[in-house]
Amino acid sequence: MNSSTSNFDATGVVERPPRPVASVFPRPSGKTLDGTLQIRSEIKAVLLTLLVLLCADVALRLAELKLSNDVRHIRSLPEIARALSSGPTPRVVFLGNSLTRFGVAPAAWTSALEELNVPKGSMAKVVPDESTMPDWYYVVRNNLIEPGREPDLLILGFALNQLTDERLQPGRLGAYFCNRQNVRELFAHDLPGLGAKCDFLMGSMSRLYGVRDEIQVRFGDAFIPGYRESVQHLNKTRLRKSAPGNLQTTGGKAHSYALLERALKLWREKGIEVVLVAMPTPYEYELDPAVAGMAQSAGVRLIDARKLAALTAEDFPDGYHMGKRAAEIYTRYLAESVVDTLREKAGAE
Amino acid sequence: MLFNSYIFWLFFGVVLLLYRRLPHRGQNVMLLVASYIFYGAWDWRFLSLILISTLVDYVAAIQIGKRKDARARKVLLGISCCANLGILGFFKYFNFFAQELTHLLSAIGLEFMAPTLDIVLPVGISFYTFQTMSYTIDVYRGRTQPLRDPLDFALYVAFFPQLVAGPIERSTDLVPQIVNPRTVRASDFSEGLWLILWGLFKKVVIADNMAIIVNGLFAENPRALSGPECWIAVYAFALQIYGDFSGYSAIARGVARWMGFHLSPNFLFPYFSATPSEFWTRWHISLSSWLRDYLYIPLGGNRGGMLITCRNLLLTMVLGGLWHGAAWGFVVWGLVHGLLLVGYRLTARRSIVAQVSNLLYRRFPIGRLFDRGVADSARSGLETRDTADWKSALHRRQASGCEISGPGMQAGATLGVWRLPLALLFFHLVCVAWLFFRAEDVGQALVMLGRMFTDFQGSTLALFGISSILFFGLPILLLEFWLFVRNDDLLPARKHWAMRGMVYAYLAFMLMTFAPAENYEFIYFQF
Repeated sequence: MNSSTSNFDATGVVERPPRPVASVFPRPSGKTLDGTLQIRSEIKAVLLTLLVLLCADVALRLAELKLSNDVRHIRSLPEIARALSSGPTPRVVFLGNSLTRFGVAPAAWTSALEELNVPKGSMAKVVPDESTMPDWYYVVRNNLIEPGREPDLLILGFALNQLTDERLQPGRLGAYFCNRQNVRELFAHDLPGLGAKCDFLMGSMSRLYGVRDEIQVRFGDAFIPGYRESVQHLNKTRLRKSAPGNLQTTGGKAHSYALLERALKLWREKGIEVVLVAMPTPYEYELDPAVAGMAQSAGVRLIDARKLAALTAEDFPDGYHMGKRAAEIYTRYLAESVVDTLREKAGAE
Repeated sequence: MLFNSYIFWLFFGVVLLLYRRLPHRGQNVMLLVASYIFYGAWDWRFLSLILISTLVDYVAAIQIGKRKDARARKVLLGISCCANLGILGFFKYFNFFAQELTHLLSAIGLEFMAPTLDIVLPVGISFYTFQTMSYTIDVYRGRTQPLRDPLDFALYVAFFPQLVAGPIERSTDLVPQIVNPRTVRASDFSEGLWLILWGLFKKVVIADNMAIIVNGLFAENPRALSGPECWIAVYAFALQIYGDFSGYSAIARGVARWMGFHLSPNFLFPYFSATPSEFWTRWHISLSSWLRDYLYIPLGGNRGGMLITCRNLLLTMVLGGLWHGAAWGFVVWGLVHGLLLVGYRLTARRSIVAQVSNLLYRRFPIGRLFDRGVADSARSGLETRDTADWKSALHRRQASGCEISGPGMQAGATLGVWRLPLALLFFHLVCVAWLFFRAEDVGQALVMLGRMFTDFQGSTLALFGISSILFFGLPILLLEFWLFVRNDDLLPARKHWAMRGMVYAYLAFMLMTFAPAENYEFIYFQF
C-alpha cells in the first residue's frame, strides 16, 4: 500500500504537500525525440494521413461509376439535357428522385400520348437518388437552364417534405450537383451557418465526405444485418416520441420553402411550364397547405396524386417505390392530367 | 460552440494564431476574452453567473488568506459555498424540489402547488461551480495561496477547453500553469493531435452512432422490447456516454496541450475496471476525486467504523448522482454505485476470490499482463510513465484512498487471471446502473431491467444492435486494451511516424465517412 493511501486510511486527510503557486508544473522528460526531429516525424505522419485519404478519395472517384448507377446517372445529366434539347417537341422532363425513377414508365407515357392524340415529343427523367428540392434546383439550373435547352414542361414529383429547404445535404450538393458558379448564390441564400458552408466545401473537395451517407449504407448493408430496416425503425420510433402524430410534420414548426419559391420564379422566367405532383406512396402523408398556396401564387399547377384509387399496397413491392403496374397507372394518369399543356406546347411549335 | 463543429475549430485557429504572437500576460488576457466568447456563444446572459462566481470566490479567497481568526475564515468560506451552491441549486434543482414537494404534500392530502419557474440550465454550471469551490476550500485549508491577480483567477475559472464539461481542475494543478510562462514543446503538438483525433473519433464515430440505437430503443415502450434489445440499449448507452464524455475530455486536453497547458486525464480505460473502487479511479476522475476530497472525507471518510463508512459512501455517491441532474434516475444511479462500493467494502478483503487471485497472481505471471496498467500505478509513481498527464493521474490515484479508490487499487492490482471475468462482470453491473441514468424515468428502467432477465427472444433489431456495437466499438476496445496494458494513454503519439500516420488515417477516414447526419450535443453539457 503506498504511503498516501496509508495516510488517507488512517486519518481521512489527504496529505498532499501544499504546492506554491509559482512552482513549475511537471514537464515530460526522458523518452522524447529532439524537438526538430519530432516536428519532422509529426509532419511525416500528417502527410501520410493526407496521402492515404487522397488515395482513398481517388479510388472512390474511379470506382464510383462502376459501383453506382446513381452516380452514372448524375454524370450523364449534361448528355441527357443535350439529347432532350435536340429532340422533338413537346420536350418533357420528369424531375424527382427514385420515386419518379420507379414511378414513371417511358413506354406507358409514349403509348398514353398516342392514345390521347398528342405528339409524343421527347422525354427525359432526371432522377438522382434521394434528391430533394435543393438538389433539384441546382440540377435544373446547371443542366437545363441554358438558351435552347429549356424543356417545355417540367413535371416535379415529390412526396413527404421533399420540397422543403430543410432537406439540404450540403456535402452531396458540393460533390455532385453544384459548381463554382453556384458558390455565391449558395452562400448567400441556401447554406445556413458556417457548418453547412464548410460541409459544402468539404463535399466539393472530398468525395469520401460528399457521399458519406452512401458509404455508410454500403458498409451497413455489408457488415450489419438488418441495417436499413433497423435504422429506419429506430428513427421512426424516436421521431414519434419527439413529435407524436404524423411523422412527416415538423412537430408544429412551419416548413421553409425559399428554394421552391426561387425555383418556380426562375423556371417561369425561363418559359418552362411547371407541374408539381404529390406522388403516391404506400402510406399517407400530409400535403403542406403552404405548397398549394405557393403553387397557386406562382401560377403552377399542383396535382395531388397521393391516393390513386387503382393502386393498392401490393403495388409497392419494396414498401416505398411503385411496381410496374403502378408505374403504368401513374404515368397514364400524369399524361391525362397534362394533356392540355402538351397540346398547347406542341401547337406553339 | 461544440468541439465537433467547424465554428469551434475556426475560433480555436484564431485563438492559436494570436496565442503564438503574444507575450505571457497578453496570452492570458486573450485566453480570458476567448473563454468568455466561447461561453457567451451559448447564451451571453449566463456570463453574469460566471462573473458572480469569479468575483465571490476571488474576494472570499483573498479575505480568507488575510484573516487569522478561524471563525471569520469559516464565515467567509460559508458565504462562498452558499453563493456557489445557491446559484447551482436555483438553476438546477429548484423545479425538481418544488415538484417533489407538491407530490409529497398531495400524497398526505394537502393541496399545495409549489411554484415552478421556466429556468434554462446554464451549460457547464456544475463544472465551474465545483472548480471555484475547490479553490476557495483549498485556500481555507491552507493547501494553496490565494491568487492576487483577478485576471489570472478569472482565467482559472473560465479556461475554455475545460469550462463546460471539465475536467474539474484543481487550483494546485491549473493555476501554476496560468501564472507561469508556458512553453509548447514538439511533443505537446504530437500528443495534442493524438488526443484531439482520438477524442473526435470517440465522440463523432462511436457516441453519435450509438445515439441512434440508444435514442430509438429508449423511445420505445419498454414492454414492447425484448430482453436482448434492452441489453443492446444499455450496452450502446455505455459506449455512447463513454465515447461522448471521454471524447470531450480528450479533445479538451488536446486543445489545451497545443497551448502548453497540461490538463488532468479524466478517464483511464474505466470499462477494464474489475472492482467498484477501481472504476472510480478511472471514470470521471476529476469529479470522483472532488467528491472524495470535499465531501467524503469531510463527512468522516472511513474513520468512524464500518457503519459510518458505509453511510458516507452511500451519501457521497447519491449526491454525486444528484450532481448530474435533478431527477430520480440520477439518484438511483448514484445509489446503485454506492451499494456496489459498500458491497465491495464489506467483502473485498476477506473474499476467497481475492485470496485465490493473489495466489494465482504469484504463480502465473501471464495474468499480470492484464494487470499491468493497474499494477504499475499501484507501485510508486516514480516508476511509471513520465508525462505530466500520467503523473497527474497517478498523483490523484495515489492520493486517493478508501473505497472511492484506495483498497480497490490494491485488490485490483493483484487480480491476475481473474481480472478479465471480473471486469466483464463489473462492466455488466455498471451497465445496470447506466439503465437508471439513461431511462426516461425509474419506471421505464425497472421494466427494462425485468425484461433483461426474463425475456430471451432474439430479434432483427437485437442482431443489428450487437453488430453495430461490434462494428463501431471493437476498434476502440482493442486500442484501449492495448493502451491499458501498456499503461499509457498517449502511447500512439510516440510510435513511429508511419504507424501514427496509418492510425490517424483510419481515424480521419471514419470521421469523414461515419459521422451521422445529426450532430449531437455532448451529453455532459446538460450537467
